[in-house]
Amino acid sequence: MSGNSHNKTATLRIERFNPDVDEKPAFEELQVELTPGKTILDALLEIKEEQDGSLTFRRSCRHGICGSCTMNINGTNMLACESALIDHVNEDELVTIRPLPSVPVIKDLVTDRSSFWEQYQRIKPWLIPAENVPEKEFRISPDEVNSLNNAERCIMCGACYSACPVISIDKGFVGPHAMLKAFLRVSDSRDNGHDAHMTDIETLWDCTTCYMCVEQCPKDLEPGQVASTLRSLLVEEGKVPRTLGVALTSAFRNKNPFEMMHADRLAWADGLPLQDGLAEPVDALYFVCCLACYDPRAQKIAQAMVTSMDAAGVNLGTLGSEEVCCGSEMQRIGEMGLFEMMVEELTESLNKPQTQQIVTASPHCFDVFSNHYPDLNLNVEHYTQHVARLIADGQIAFKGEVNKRVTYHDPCYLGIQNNVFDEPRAILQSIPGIELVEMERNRKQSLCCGGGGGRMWFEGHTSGAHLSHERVREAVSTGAQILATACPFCLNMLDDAVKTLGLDDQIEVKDIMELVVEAS
Amino acid sequence: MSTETITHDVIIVGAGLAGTWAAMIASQEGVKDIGVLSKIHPLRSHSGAAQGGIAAAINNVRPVAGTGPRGPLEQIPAGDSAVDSIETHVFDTIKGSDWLGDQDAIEILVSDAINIVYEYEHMGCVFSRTPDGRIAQRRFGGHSVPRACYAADWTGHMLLQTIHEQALRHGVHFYSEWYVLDLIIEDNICRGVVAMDVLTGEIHTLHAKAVMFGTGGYGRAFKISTNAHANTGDGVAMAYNAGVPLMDMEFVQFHPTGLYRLGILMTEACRGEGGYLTNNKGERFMEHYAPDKMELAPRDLVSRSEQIEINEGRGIGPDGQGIYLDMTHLGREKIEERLPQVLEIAHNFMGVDIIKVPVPIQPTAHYSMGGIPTDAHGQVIADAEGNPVVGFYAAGECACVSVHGANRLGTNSLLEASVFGRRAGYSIAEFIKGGAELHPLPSDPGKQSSERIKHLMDDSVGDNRESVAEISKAMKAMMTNNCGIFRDADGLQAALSNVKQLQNRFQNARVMDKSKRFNTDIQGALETENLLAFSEVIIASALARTESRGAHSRIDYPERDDENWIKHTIAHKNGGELPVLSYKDVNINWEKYPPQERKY
Repeated sequence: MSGNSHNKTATLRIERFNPDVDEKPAFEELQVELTPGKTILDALLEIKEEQDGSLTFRRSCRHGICGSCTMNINGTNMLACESALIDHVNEDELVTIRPLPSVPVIKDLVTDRSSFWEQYQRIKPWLIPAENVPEKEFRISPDEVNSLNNAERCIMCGACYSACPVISIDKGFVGPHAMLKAFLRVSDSRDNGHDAHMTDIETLWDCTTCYMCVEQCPKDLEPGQVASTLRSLLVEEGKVPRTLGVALTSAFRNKNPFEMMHADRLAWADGLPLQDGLAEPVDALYFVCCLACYDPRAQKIAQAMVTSMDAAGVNLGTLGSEEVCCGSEMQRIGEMGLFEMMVEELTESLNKPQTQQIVTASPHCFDVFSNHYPDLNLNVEHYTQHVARLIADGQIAFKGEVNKRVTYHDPCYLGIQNNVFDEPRAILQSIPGIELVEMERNRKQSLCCGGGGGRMWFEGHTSGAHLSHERVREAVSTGAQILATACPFCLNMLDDAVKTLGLDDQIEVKDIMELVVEAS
Repeated sequence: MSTETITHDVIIVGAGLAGTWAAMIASQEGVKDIGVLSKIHPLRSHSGAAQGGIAAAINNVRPVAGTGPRGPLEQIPAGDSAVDSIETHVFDTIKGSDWLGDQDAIEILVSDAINIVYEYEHMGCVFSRTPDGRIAQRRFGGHSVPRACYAADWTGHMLLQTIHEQALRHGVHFYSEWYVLDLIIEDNICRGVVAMDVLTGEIHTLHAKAVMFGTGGYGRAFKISTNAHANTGDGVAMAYNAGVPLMDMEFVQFHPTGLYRLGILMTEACRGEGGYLTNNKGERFMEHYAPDKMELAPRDLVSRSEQIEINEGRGIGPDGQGIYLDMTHLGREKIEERLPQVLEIAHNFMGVDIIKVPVPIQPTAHYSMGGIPTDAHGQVIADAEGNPVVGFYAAGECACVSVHGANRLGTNSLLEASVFGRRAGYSIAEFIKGGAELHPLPSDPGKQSSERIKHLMDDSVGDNRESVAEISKAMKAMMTNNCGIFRDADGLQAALSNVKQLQNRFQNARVMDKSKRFNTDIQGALETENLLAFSEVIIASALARTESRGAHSRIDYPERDDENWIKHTIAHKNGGELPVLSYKDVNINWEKYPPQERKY
């Protein structure tokens, strides 16, 4: 807030477009003084007043309550009014400002949000009052108000909607904002319209629970989590898509959602140096994702892990016959009863071994153990964290090389949801020969593969368009020969996409663990 | 530009609390052909920026006995006696208004308060709660008991979302991003409006049996303001230009706690929850100005006190123009629970953690007590005698009933917009159902608006071209310096000639954007023209009022003059000349609420 006599100049690289006169959008670079305290909205207003009155954007309250000035700043949706210019310029004092993605542009930074409002109205956002209201107010406990998790504070700015990967391919999806509003209504004991809000909401099964909406919400709200809460209401009513019902039943009966025999769970490890963690002390407990147990392609992740740990001298064990599905996807699907049962059972098993260290193959297991197993007394790591540390400590050394250009796809459950961005990249960069290139959407702006939140078993309403296809095309455009990831779900989705798109000759999908073993 | 006519029974301009309440009620009463026009999306309306609460004597909490005026509050146990009453709320509001509020209207406001808060609650508004589940209440300035019903510090947002959604439920049709340019009144009968569809730039005439304005306040006439960019008083200016008078325009509220230099609102609830104001010596200076109420004196008094501290060299900040708002003794838990929005705002805009350090603030233009004169049914009146403008209604901040008189109490504005919006809805429904007619339009009603726009885009002005932004800045600085918290004849005279010069300069102002599609440059120019139109009325009304009352403080007339000035200013447009002023009696119940000395 204090003055500065040596102010620099900031460049705003703004995407301009007036469909009446311009053939296509084009960037224009405009300069303003870079003073402390100046917001991006201040800078835009200054340009409009002093340099180019035709620069067009919405604004009103200028303190983050009206939701008008949402725009895409350096790839992330935010409110221009509460974003300081100095925080968003790069080393060249440049900031890139674009209209919200996934919605039509009206002019410059003004977008057409009609699909956003249509979805909002579709869930009937109004409270439907009871026939008989009390003379005074309804009694509502402070705890009930708290249980709304501030959903009532949504300012309808559209940041989540425009960032949502499902919305990017299908405007029929209910969208995070409308899910949040539906949650607000159905959670309110005063509301008399449960069915009205929930009737037209079946597209919520399309949500991949990537939590990009949570990541980009300027008010720190949790529309992503709400998808599971709403689904749980449908689950209670038995309104579950058939294929998801099959997965849930299998998770209950077979301890895995893939309708495989529990007895075959450890078949992937035949002949490999893997201990029974319940029978003898181990350095670390390896928790293998159901997909990595049963899917031939994903099994290679687990096999690579065991090989590599053996070479590093790490005594690795599993829960043996007590290893069962972690329940992460059951929770995201909204089968809360089943999930709680699974948590209870697995917590008991996981707390048995002597070791304090558990390493997961999948970001999904990592996420659920870290955040939703309240009584787990273990240090939980995703394997990329564990392996990155072993490399840094010199316990894993590379003898070979992987002479390839590699790009890395951040799994949502690892990156966006748990902020593990650096370790996977550190591993790739330590492998001799690898040239690591980034896709345009990386780290916190990564594009979901489309496989989470039950989508592994549910085709969804998004006919024709696939996030995994878009992601693979983006990877190919970097010139990478290998699309690396660190999640059995992502591996499966992306691998299928490469095959479907017939791009096998251009790019190969690999788990980081496979590359580690290749170079060992 | 083409002029296409759209017809509705009712046109409502503005979709904040007042306009939306009116629309919902009229629709509920069976008037289905309603169009609500808003220059921004309805949910972006500035009602949503109100933070601290809505006043109603619902008696849910009381001060803990023996803890004094700033002590903790507790829920009133079932069966225990009430601490608040309609009479107390009425008296507090009258005293707050410095006896310029109409007491009959204040009684309506306060009586309706209780049921409108319960109605919001029944419609789904998420209020904060007492431990036993009733609506929570807190202290506010000028209110003698804790009566501000609140939803953390998001109260306006919650009320706006609630009422907007209920209006949608009742099938109200909103024209989002339609900017109204002109109000059509002929022979004292309102016939519709002229508006621009911002998206296409097309001008439309909207023909209606009744028009209601809920267009909000005019705080953007000042340099430092809590108000949104949208709060340019368009409705007030349009009404004035159409021959409707404006009432009590000299009464502009300066909020004591806008963020230093930025003006962004830090709710009065900061002080309601126990925050202090301190000067550069660390003194709680309010003990010199309002020893009893301290920081919870009414806003006019607190802002004046701050300004005196600043003027006498006890301000803070590099230019000494600030004051500290200190909440560090409230503790993290209370601040996170009750004041989450100001916590976030202070962090985002000042880099200040209010849990740990005081935040710099300053008095800031906030609320327009004056506006379009109406009766208690939202019916706009044409003169001091109270004759109606047929078919024209107004409510909320753009209107002047008057319930706030010379100074509004905090939490009475959400209340006013709701209560009088609702009342306007009922009277509009009655008017339509009573056989209101569609009166003929004048020929080519959109012509004037189209010509204004053409003029603003015409480049033939050459080197004489003026910048809209520069004129706007000069006007706001002038209003702040000469027509701000303290005023005198010299400054106001200078302001009057200055605003005339600026109006003349504006004749040569031109926009840079010549396109039709979503032209916010044109809109900004028209808004500035509106600011220039009614600012003149603020100044002229302030110059004429040779006394100090409420928010109007004349250095040259420091005393309240009940002998001569218990009356409302009525200003009519007089061509290009200064407004013609006349005066209207204040409704006072001389037996019950006679004027008293105003001490806190």
